[in-house]
Amino acid sequence: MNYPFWEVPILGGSLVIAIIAIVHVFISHFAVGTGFFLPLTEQKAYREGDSALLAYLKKHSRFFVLVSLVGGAITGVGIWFSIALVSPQATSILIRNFVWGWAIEWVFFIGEITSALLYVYTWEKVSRQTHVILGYVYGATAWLSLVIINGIITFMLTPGRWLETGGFWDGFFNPTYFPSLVMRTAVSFALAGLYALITASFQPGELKPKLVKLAASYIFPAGLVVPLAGLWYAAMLPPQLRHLVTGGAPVQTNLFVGSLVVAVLLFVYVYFVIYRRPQSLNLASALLALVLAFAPIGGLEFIREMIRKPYVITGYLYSYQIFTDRADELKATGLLASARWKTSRAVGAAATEDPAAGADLYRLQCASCHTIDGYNALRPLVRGWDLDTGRMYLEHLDQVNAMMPPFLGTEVERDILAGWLVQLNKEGR
Amino acid sequence: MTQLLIPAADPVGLPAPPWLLQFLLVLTFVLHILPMSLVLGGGFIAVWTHLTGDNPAARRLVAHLAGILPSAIAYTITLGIAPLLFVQLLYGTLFYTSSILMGFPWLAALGLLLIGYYSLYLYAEGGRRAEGERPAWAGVLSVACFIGVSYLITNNLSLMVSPAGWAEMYAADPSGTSLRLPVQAVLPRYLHAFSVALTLAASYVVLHGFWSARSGGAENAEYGQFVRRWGAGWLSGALALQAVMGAWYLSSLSGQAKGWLLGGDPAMALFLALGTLLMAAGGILLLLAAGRNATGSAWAGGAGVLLGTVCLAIVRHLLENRTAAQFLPAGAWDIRPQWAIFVLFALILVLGLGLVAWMVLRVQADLKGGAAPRAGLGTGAPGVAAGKGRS
Ligand code: HEC
Repeated sequence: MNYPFWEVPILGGSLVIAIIAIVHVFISHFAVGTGFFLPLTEQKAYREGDSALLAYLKKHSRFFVLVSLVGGAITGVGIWFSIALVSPQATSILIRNFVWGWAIEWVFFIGEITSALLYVYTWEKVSRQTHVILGYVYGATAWLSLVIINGIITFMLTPGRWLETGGFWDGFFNPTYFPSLVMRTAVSFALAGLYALITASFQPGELKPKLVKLAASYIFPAGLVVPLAGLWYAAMLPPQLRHLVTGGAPVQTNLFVGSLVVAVLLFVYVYFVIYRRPQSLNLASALLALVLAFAPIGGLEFIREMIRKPYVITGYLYSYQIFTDRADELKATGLLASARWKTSRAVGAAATEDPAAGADLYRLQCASCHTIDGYNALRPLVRGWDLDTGRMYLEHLDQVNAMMPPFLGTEVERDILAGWLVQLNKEGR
Repeated sequence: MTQLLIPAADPVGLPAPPWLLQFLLVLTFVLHILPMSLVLGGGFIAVWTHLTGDNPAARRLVAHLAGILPSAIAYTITLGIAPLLFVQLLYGTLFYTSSILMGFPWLAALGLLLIGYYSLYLYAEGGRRAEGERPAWAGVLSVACFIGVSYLITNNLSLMVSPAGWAEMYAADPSGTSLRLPVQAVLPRYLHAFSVALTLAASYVVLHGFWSARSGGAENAEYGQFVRRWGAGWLSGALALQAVMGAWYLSSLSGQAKGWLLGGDPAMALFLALGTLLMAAGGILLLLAAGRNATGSAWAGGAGVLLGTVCLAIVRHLLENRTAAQFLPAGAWDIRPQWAIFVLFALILVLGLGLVAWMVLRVQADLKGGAAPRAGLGTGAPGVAAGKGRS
C-alpha cells in the first residue's frame, strides 16, 4: 500500500521470515545457555582436576563459536532484512519506537563477540581466572541481549498500554514480557544441555556419563520451568487471544497443547532413555532429543505468529501493512485510488476493464498471508466459487476466519477481486 | 519530471533529533568500514599473495591475514547493524522501498555472507595445521562472496536515492528479482568504495610490517621488510586506483551533485578537499616511510589515511543526506524524542566499551605475564602452556 509489495511465490513472505527466524531462535537460545554452560563446566573441571573434561570443553567451545557467531549473527540480520521486506511499515514503527533498545542490544553484541572470540582463542594462553571471566562475560551479555529483544518480540503480540501512551517502557514491559523472558531463559538452558549431549555422544567411556549428568542438570530444571512459563504466558494474554489457544480455535489450541505435551515428553525421554542409561548415549539418541525440542520451540513461535493475525502489531497495524485507524477511510476512497504501488493504472469503475487490477488487489489485501499455489494457497481455497460466493466471502472475510482482516476495498473493487479469484480456477484447467 | 512515488511518513516520530541520528550514523559507519576494509581488501590481498608468492615471508603474511579475518568479519557484521538502524530511521521511506524493489538479490546478500564467512573459516583453519594445506579455493570463494555482498549494498544505497524510476519499475515488474540498476550506474561508486577499502587494508599491511619487525630477531626483521615492501606495492596501486575511480565517480554523478561537491555546498566541498588531501598525503608519507623504514612517519601516514577516510565518510553522508532530503515525504523527520532511554544507551555504551577494553587489556597482561595457572589442559603448574607459539 504505502510500500511496494514483495511477492514471494510458493513460500510467501511470512514463511520466509518464519524459516529464518526459527533457525535463529534455535541458535541464539542455544548460545545464551552455552554461554553459562562453558564457564560453569570449566570451573568444575578445575575443581576436580579433570583434564579430559577440559579437552572436551575446548572442542565444544570452538564449534560453539562457529555456530553461534556466524550462524547466529547472519540469521539475526536475516530476520531483520526479511521483516523489512515483508512488513516494511511494521519494521519502521518498531525501529522508531525501539531504536535505543536495539542500540543497547548492539552494545551487548559487541561484548558478546569480543568475549566469545577471546574465550576460544585464549585457551591455554591466559590465566584460568581470566578465561572463566571471559566465559561469564559472554553468558551475561548474550542473556542481556535476550532481555532486550524479548521486549520487542512480545510487544508485537501484546502492545499493552503502548496503544494509548506510545511510551517506550509501556511497549517494552508489555503483558507477556516476563513469562516470555522466563520461558526463553529456560529454553536456553535446556538447549545448552541438549546440545552438550550431542558432543558428549562422541566422548569415550568415563567422560560420557559425567557429561550426561551435567547436561541433565541443565535440561531437567528447564523441563519444569518451560511448561509453567507457557501457562503463565497464556494467562497473561488478553482474553480474546487466550481464548484462541484454550479451545476457541482448534488449530491453535491443538498446537499449543501439543507443544506443551511434546515438551513434557522430551523430558521423560531424556530421563528414561538417556539419563538412566548414560553409556548407551549415541548420536542418534542425542539428535532425537534435539528434534523433540525443535517441535515445541518451533510450535510456540509459530502460535505466536498465528494468533497475532490479522495484525502485525495487535490492534494497531494489519498484516497487509495498513493502520487499523485508516480502515474506514480506505473503504470510502478505494484501495486502488489510495495505493501507491500497483501495476494497473485505472481506479474506480474504470478499473473493471483493467486486467491488472485484480492482481493488484490480491497483492494489496491477500498476499501478505496467502500465495496462489504454495503456502496457504488461494487457488484450492476458492475452488468452485462463482462471483456471488466471492462477493459473499469478501464482504465477511473477518467473520469467515478470525485470522483474516476485513476486506477494505469499495464494492467495485470487491467485485474485481472476486472476479480475479474465480478466474484462478479457470485458467486452462 | 515524472511523478515521484514515495511512501508517506510514519505516524511515529523520530526518537531523537536528526542531527544526533546523523552523527551516530557517520560514527558507526566509520566503525563498520574499518573491519570491513580489512575483510574485503585484506582478503583480496591475502588470496592474491597466497596464489602468487611462495617465499616463507609471503606465507607468513597470508597466515597472519587469514588468522585475523574471521574476527574482522564478525566485527564487520555486528558494527554494521548500527549504521543500518540509523539509515532506516532517517531514510526509511526510501530505504525500505529500494530494498523491496530488489528484494530477492537483497536477501541473497545474506546467503553470500554465510558462504563467504564459512569459507573464510575453512581458509583460516585449513592453514592451522600446515600452511600447505590452506585451501586456496576457499579464500577465492570467500573474497568473491564478499565482493558480491558489498556490491549489493552499494546497489541498494544507490537505488535508495534514485526514486525517479521507481513507479515504472514496479509497474513493469513487481517481482523484485532484479537489481533494478544497470551495472554501469553502480560501478563507479562501487569501485571507488572498493579502492578506499583496499587502501585501508594495504595501509594496515604496511603498518603490520613495521609492527612485526619490532619484535626483534633476524627472521622478524626480514619478514617485516618483506611485508613493508609488499604492502607498499599494494598501497601505491590502491591509491592510484582511488584517484582514477574517484574522478570517474565524480564525473558520473548528476550535475546537481557535482555542483555541490565542487563548491556549491561548502561543507561537502571542504570535506572532499580535506579528505583527498589527507588521503594522498597520508598515503605518500606511508609509502616513503616504508622505503626508508621510518617508523614515526609510518604511523603519521597511517593516521592521515584514517583521517582522510573519516572525511570521505562525512562527504559521503552529506551527499546522501542532501540528495535524500529532496525525496523525503513531509513529516519524515518529525521528532518525538526519548531522551531518558537515549541516556541509558549512552551509559551502557560507555560501560560496554569499558568492559571490552578491560577484557582486551586483561588478556594482554596475561599473555605477557604468566605466573598464574593457565586455562586449559595444563597441569596447573606455572607457565605450562601447551598450545603456545601458534599465531
Ligand atoms: C492476515 C492474514 C490473512 C489475510 C490478509 C487474508 N487471509 Fe485468507 N486466510 C488466512 C488464514 C490464516 C486462513 C486459514 C487457512 C486455513 O485454515 O488453512 C485463511 C483462509 C481463507 C479462506 C478459506 C476460508 C474458509 O474457511 O473457507 C479463503 C477463501 C481466504 N482465506 C481468502 C482470502 C482472500 C480472498 C483474502 C484477500 C482479500 C485473504 N484471504 C486475506 C489469513 C489471511
